[in-house]
This record gives sequence, C-alpha cells and structure tokens, in this order.
Amino acid sequence: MKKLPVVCPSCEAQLQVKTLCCASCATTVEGDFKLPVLARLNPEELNFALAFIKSSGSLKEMSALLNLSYPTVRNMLDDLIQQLQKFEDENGKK
Amino acid sequence: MKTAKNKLITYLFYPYQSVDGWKAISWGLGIQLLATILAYFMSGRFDGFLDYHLVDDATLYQTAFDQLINVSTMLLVFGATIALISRGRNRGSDLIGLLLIARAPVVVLPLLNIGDFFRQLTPRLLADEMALSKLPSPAESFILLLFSLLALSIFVWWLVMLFQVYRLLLHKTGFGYTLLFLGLVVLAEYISKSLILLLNV
Repeated sequence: MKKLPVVCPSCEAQLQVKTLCCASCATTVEGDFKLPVLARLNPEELNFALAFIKSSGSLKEMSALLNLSYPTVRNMLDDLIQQLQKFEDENGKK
Repeated sequence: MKTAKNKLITYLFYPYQSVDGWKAISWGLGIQLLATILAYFMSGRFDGFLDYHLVDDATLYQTAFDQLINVSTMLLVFGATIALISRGRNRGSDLIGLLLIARAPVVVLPLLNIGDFFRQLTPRLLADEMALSKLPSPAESFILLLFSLLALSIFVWWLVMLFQVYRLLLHKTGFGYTLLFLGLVVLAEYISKSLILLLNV
C-alpha cells in the first residue's frame, strides 16, 4: 500500500485534501479538506494507536505485545495523546 | 528482529525498557543481594549511596546493613519525589523495580578487587612516609590506573541509568528536572552516609 503523504516535500507544511475520487464511478469532488488527525500520524504512531484500540486500551497487553516495559508504553501513549492534541488544536485554529 | 548482540546491549544499558513490575523488583533485589555478598567476600563496603570502599574487617551484617540503607534511601528520596511529581501515573511496582534495576551496575564494583590487589596496595600508598621501595611499580601503577578508570566508568554507568529511569518514570524534560536529579543524588548521599555513620556498628 502506498504511503499517504501528509507533509509538503517542498516546504514541509501540512498538506490538505484537494480532490476526492469515487473508485466505483470515477466521480470527483474538489474542495479544501483538512486531513483527519489520525491520518496525520506517522506510520509508527498510527500502528501504535491501532494496536492500542485492538487491545481494548490495555497498556499491560500492549506492553506484552510490543515487548516493552509498562512505563515505556505509557510514555509512548502520552506522547501520542500530546501529538493528537496538537493536531486538534491546529485544525481548530484554521 | 533483534539480534543476540542487540538484546544483550538492551539488557545491559536499557533494561528498564523491557523489564517492569514484579519482575524488575525480583531482578533488582537479587542483584543487590549478590552485590552485598560479593562486597563482603571482596572486603568492600557500600558505605554511602555513591560510595564503595575497601576495608579490613567488615562483617556480613555491616555490608548488608549498608546496602539496606542505600537502597531504602534511594527508594525514599527518588521514589517519593517521582510519585509526588508524576501524581500516580506510575505503578508502585514499576517505581520500586526500575529504581532497583538502575542500581544494578554497582554489582561489578566488588569484582575490581580480585586477588585483594587494591586492599593491599592502598595502605602503602597512604603511608605517611613513603619509602622508595614502597612506591608502586610501573605494572602496579598501570593496573591502578586501569581499574580506577573502570571503577569511575561503573559509577557513571549507574548514575546514567538512574537518570534514564528517573526521566522514564517522570516523563518530563528540561533543565529544571536535571538540576532536581542532581539535588536528589546529593540528598540521597547525605542521608545514607549520615544514617550509616549514625546507626552502623
């Protein structure tokens, strides 16, 4: 699967969605859409978020799954929360 | 996939990344117990949070008592401060276990006196009147320098590991927290040294 680019390769600013296309009938919709906060996470952060949801939010389970200590996983989650908060704030401002 | 070498490096320098809770407590206590026994057999005493000295006549009781004070002081000073700042974000078993694991490098210190080399050399070096015949030979000087650097490296290793555990459990960065860490090290050394001098027999 191709990686969705979220940052401009030229100036490193946040990319936005300009065109959406229906894979079934080829209808295209143009506009100025912001990326949802989860789509703005990097692959590692997104994988962590998905694994966290799949383990019903259990840090203990995540710790066993990733073979990392509980405080390490806890810090990763805190960093992710902080990142999501930052993205939400940015989306709110624009 | 982690290679055996990477796993070894992780367990030696970053054990707190993969060990936690009761497992960390068990390993931590086991290593401190081993350090105590080794210190006793190698004529050493951990007579302070940051100290290790060679002595002539330490009993097993004294060596164990020193370690008990050092470990308790570390858990009290660092554990209480981290718990207070992080306000319940850490499990008690992680807090105790990882701090114990951070002190693991000190287990190597007693091994530096293999063959009782340093305990026998020290009185000669500290003698009031140093006769030429009592001066260390070039070979002895080389061993002295090498093992002094090794001992210093072990202390640095243990303080770096303690700092990493402190940062992991606090999950805060900034110069203020580094200064606080240094303050806690000094406080732990002061309390442990005072308690050992006051209570030890």
